[in-house]
Amino acid sequence: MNFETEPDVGNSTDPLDPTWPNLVERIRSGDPSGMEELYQVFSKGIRFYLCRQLGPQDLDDKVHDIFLIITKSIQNGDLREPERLMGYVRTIVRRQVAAHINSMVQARRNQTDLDFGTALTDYHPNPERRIIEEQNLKLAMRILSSLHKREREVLIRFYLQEQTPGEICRDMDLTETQFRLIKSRAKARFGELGRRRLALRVGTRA
Amino acid sequence: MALNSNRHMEEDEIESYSMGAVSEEECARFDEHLLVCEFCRNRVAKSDERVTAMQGAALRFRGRRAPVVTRRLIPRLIPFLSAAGLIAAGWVGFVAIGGVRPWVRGTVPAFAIHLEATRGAGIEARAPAGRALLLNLDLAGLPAQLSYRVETVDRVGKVVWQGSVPSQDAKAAAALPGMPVGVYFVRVYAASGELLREYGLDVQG
Repeated sequence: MNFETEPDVGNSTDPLDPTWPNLVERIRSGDPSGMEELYQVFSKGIRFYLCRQLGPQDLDDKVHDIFLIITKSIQNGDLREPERLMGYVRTIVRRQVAAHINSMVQARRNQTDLDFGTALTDYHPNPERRIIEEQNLKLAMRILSSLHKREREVLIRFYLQEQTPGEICRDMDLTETQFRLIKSRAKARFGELGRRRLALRVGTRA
Repeated sequence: MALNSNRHMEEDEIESYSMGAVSEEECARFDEHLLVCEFCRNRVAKSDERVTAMQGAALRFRGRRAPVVTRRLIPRLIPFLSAAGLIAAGWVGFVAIGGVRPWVRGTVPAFAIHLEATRGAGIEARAPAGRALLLNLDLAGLPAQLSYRVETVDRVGKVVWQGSVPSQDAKAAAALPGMPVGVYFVRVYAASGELLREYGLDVQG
């Protein structure tokens, strides 16, 4: 992960122009360029969604399966409003995630019925990722440690207890600006320490 | 109001999305946008990392116990310890003659755990054994209901706790008594009895 400063939204490329009906029409007619474009447009997004929901295991297979389902259902005419292609893809992906979770629950039940012991799979993709997570945790600990007790309490309430900004401001007698300032400072500090860590790592390698 | 899926996400929206604190309508818009926008995906990925780290660090701060008294400190603390001993003896005497029963109330605060949407078979949430737990459940993506039935089962499926928890803004919290070491599964059911979600919880000694 890199910790570069987030660029201005306005400077970035806009999301794709939604010329979905044309794309849907090409997929329906079996035009390979349509399927290619569908894959190009959605594959990374579907992968991202699946990874957030299910972890990185067997991602390629899952993305592939979902693409087959999407393509087939479009060809079957199940998508009635081509301009709603994004929503349609999301619905299919969500259903697949739900089905996957359900199958995991059933598998776990069957496993425990047979008393094979509970299979625990590690969702962390690799040791490097684990190290990065540990480093991030250390950064966050450092930030919280460096804060005044009251500021730390604000962040703990927000991130751990998931109180709303309104609740925190009311309970701790803060203005919304004070709350935002505390949060944005911590965020900036996290980014800054992360960048420093990255620079150090690059320096060590060079 | 229809939300525009082609607009980039705001900073606050990114963080709320990372924390699962968005409405169903917003979630749909953001999901759709993220399907096609690499720029926002990168921002969400960064935000996920920061939020996870901050939650982990906050949990450690909350769960920190009083520092252990070292040997070198003990001689200096003898007068204070003696005084504390006398006060404690008086308190025990007060309790013995019918005063309050302090052990009935939990003196140790509940251990808060944030349970995120199930990620396959992985069990990420860990909690200490024998300590009351406060389970913060992320219900984003589930059909909105006023309350859900929550059930905790052990690894062989035996129910160890169940109850109904109210929900607000796709969040709910369940207070559970302390549990022995083991792997548990927290299941969320709809009012109709349909199983909606399952979370893994590893209670360690």
